[in-house]
Amino acid sequence: MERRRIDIDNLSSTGVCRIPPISATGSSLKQSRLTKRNLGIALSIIGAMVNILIMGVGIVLLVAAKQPKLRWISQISHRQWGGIFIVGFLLSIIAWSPWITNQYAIETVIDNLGGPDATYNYLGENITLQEIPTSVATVPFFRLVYFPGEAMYIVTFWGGVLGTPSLGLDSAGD
Amino acid sequence: MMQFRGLRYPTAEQNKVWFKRRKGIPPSKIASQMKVSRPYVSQAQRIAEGRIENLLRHTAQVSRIDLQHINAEYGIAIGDCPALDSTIYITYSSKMGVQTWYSHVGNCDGCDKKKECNELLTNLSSDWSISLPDGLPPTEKGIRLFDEIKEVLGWNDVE
Repeated sequence: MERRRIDIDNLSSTGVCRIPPISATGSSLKQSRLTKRNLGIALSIIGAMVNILIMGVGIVLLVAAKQPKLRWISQISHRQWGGIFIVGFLLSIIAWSPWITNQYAIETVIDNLGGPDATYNYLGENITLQEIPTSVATVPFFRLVYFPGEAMYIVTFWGGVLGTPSLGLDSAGD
Repeated sequence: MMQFRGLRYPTAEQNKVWFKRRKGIPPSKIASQMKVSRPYVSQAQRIAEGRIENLLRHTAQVSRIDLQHINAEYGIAIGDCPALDSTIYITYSSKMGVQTWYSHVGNCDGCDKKKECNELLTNLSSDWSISLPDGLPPTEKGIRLFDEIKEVLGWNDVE
């Protein structure tokens, strides 16, 4: 058989893949690079927030001691314990942030990207944001909104959106 | 419904005969190369093609694919999957068995199967004597390879 050569100049936007199209597999398909990267980002955020939490408790203890060194726990008064409890409780509530529901997180991200009818380059196809499958993961102080296989956005407890430009923000609105 | 009694892969000998025949080597030459009789070559080829066709049809059936074209001589079938709204390529090769390829742009950069896909495409292109361009991700190499295969087989009606 004569060896044929493919015409590389005649490029098109089509392709083949051994993994089925995303529309059929729904949100279960996550590709490894993005998953690892997103996991890294999520762990970094959790680590940072735990640090802030511990620092906050430390500062509260220092302030409660009214001197630049820590007292023994037995020396902390009931009133001071009350203050520590209230601060801890408030931090816990903020970490939980029950007002950030999954639906709210998704809508916030979509609004941030231009609304449900805005187009988005999702896995090589320009489709509207409302058609993109989404999944939400809960981490302290944040919700992680995934566009499976494409991007991850972080919704903060105050309703802000932290984008990850290399994962998707730069492709929004293409 | 089609029955798949005794669904089997071709044996090593049958694979060898089938592959040599698809390369265009005459049966008499294959017989002398393999030191077997001429009727044995014909029979082995017939059995191999029958088994390959069954494998391709079975793969199509389990994946709910409506076949448009099938060619057991070359070990390839093309069909549509209504559920995925995609053209599906089913290939058979003695080295890699049956594989399915979905017509859509995959994201090869982050895919852990990229190396495997490259190997499969290299094997496939070698079987078909088609040179693959370098520097393209498997998803693009693949569609170019299948476009060439469709041209070779005269299946240009498939998009």
